Amino acid sequence: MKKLDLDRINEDTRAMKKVFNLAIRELEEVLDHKKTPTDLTRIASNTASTYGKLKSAEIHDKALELLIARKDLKFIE
Amino acid sequence: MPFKNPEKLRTYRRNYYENHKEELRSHHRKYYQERREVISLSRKKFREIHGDEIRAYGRDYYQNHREKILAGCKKYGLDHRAEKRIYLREYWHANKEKLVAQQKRYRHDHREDINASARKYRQDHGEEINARIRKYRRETGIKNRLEARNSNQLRDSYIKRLLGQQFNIPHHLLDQQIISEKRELLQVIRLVRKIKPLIKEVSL
Repeated sequence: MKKLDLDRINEDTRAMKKVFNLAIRELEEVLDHKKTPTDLTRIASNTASTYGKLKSAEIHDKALELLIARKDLKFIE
Repeated sequence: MPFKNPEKLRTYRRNYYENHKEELRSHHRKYYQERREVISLSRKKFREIHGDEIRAYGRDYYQNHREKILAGCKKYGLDHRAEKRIYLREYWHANKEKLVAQQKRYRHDHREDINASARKYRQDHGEEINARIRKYRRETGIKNRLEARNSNQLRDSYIKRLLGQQFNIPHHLLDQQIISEKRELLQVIRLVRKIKPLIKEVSL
């Protein structure tokens, strides 16, 4: 199996974070009436909703971990 | 009917009022009953807008006319409600400790009686009380939820409840990180929801 390149993943994550921040800034500017909505806004909106989905998956994972930890605690008792 | 003499006008008005008293009163009553909600709403609104001014005026008035008011209280044997309230407030502040101790002692001595009467009241008016509580919760609950959703800083308790509902995790187990991430997520979702109607008009 191919070995995971951790540095590469971190770099990707950082790059994605930048993209998400840009998208959110674009949306905020349009909502504040600093800009008019364009195609870019549409792409930004899609990016932000993708970000939302990823984030919600992350939160779900963490919540699941908490849940399992709680069940373990019960089991030990 | 023009009156040049103000005294005559006043007399005419007084006589008119005396002669048509019942009619006028019933008219006023009807007017109030028909517009009761509008009137009370506008009064409430007025109070909301000018509440601070009114209270400040009241405070100033009391400070400036304190001696007069208290003298009046004594003179009229505390007939006036407002003056009575002022007197009682003063009395309460002056004798606070004594009164609190008295209340506590009474409560201690008559514990059984008080509890029994409270129980009886609850039994007699149970349905009514429950309905009132339900109504209050329904109204304030909706308001609180709306406020939580609309405020920029979504409240932690709201997020905790949301997470609790979704994943069935007790509140004390939720750590700060997960709450702040959920808050961020909700903010992003709100942004996307707001932007959607705007970009509908733009075509790719």
